[in-house]
Amino acid sequence: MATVIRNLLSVLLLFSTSGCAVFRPAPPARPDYDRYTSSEHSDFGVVYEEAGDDRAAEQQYEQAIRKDASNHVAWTNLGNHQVQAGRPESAREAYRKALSLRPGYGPAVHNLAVTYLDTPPPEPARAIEVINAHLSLVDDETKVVLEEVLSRAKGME
Amino acid sequence: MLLHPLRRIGGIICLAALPLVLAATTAGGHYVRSQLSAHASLPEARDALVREVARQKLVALGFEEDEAMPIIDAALASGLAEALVGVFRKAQSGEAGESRLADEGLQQAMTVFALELNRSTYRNSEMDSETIWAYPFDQTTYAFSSKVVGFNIPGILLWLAPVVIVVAVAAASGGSAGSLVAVGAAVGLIMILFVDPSILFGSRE
Repeated sequence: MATVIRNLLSVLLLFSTSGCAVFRPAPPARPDYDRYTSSEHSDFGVVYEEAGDDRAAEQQYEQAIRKDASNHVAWTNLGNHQVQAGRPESAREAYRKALSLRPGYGPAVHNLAVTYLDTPPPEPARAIEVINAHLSLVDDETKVVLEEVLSRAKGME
Repeated sequence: MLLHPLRRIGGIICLAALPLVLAATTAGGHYVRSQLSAHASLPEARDALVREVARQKLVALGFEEDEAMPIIDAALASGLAEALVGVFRKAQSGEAGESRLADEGLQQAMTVFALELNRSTYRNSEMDSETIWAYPFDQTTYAFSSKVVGFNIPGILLWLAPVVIVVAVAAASGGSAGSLVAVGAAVGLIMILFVDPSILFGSRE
C-alpha cells in the first residue's frame, strides 16, 4: 500500500513538473490601445462617433489627449462630443484649448462661436469676439463660413 | 356657416406661422463635424479600428499576436470590415444612449466575424487557408469559444496507446500495482516531453 502511495506521489510530482501541468490557455489579455498614436486615437474616436457610439468616441479622444496634449484636433473633437452630451461649458473649454494650441483652427473657431449662439442664454458678443480674434488666421473657405456665423451673431445682438 | 370663417382664420394663421416654423427649424448653427487627422481617411481609420478590435478579441481569446494578424488580414481582405461595421451600428441602435460596442456589440460583431470567416472564400484559397483553418471557430454555438475548441480523439488515443501497451505488458508479466503506476507514469512523461500536446486538442481540417 505504501508503495502504491509513494508511486502515486511520484506521478503527481512528475505531472506537476511536466509540460502538461503548464499547458493551459493563455490568460485573457487586457485590451489596450497603447500601440497607437494620438492622431490614430482621435481618428478612432471619429469612427466611433460616425457609428453612433459616443461613449467610445469620448474615450478615444481622451486617450488621444493623454498621449499628446497638444493635439488640437482631438481637443476640438472632444469639444464636439461634449456639445452633443449637453455640456457646453466643457465643450467651450476644449475648443479654447484647441485654439490656444492652434490659433485659427477653423472647426474650433466655428463650433466655439456656435456654442455661444445656440446655448441659452445666447451670448452673441462672445461669438463675435471669438470669430474676430481668429478670422485673419483662417483660409478663405473657412472665412466664408465664419462670416455667416458672424452675421448671424450680429443679428442676435 | 359659423365654421367656415373660423376655418379661414385658422388657415390664415397657419400660413402666417409657416415662415416662423421654418425659421425656428432652420435656426441655429450646425456644428462642424469631428475631423480626422491629416494622416487617414475615414475608411482607413475604420479599417484600422476594426483591425484593432478584432486583434484585441483574438488575443483575449488566447491567440498570439502573430497568429491573430493573418486571420484579421484575411478577413479584411475578403470584405468583412463592412460586415463588422454593420454589426457595430446594429448593436448601437439597440438601446438609446448606452454604449454596447465594448461588450455585447463586440461579441455580436465577433460572432459574425467568425461565421463569415468560416464561410469566406478562403476555405479554398491557398493563401492563408492553413492559418485560418488551423483555428476553427465553434459554429454550433455561434460563438468564438477559445483557441482550444475540443478534443482530438485520434490524437488522444495515439497519445495513450504507448502508455496502455507498456502497462498492459508490465501487468501481463506480473508486475506489482506500484510498478505498473510507475511504468505508466514514466511512459506518460516521455510522451509529454517528446510529443506535441496540441495533438490532443482541436482539429485541423
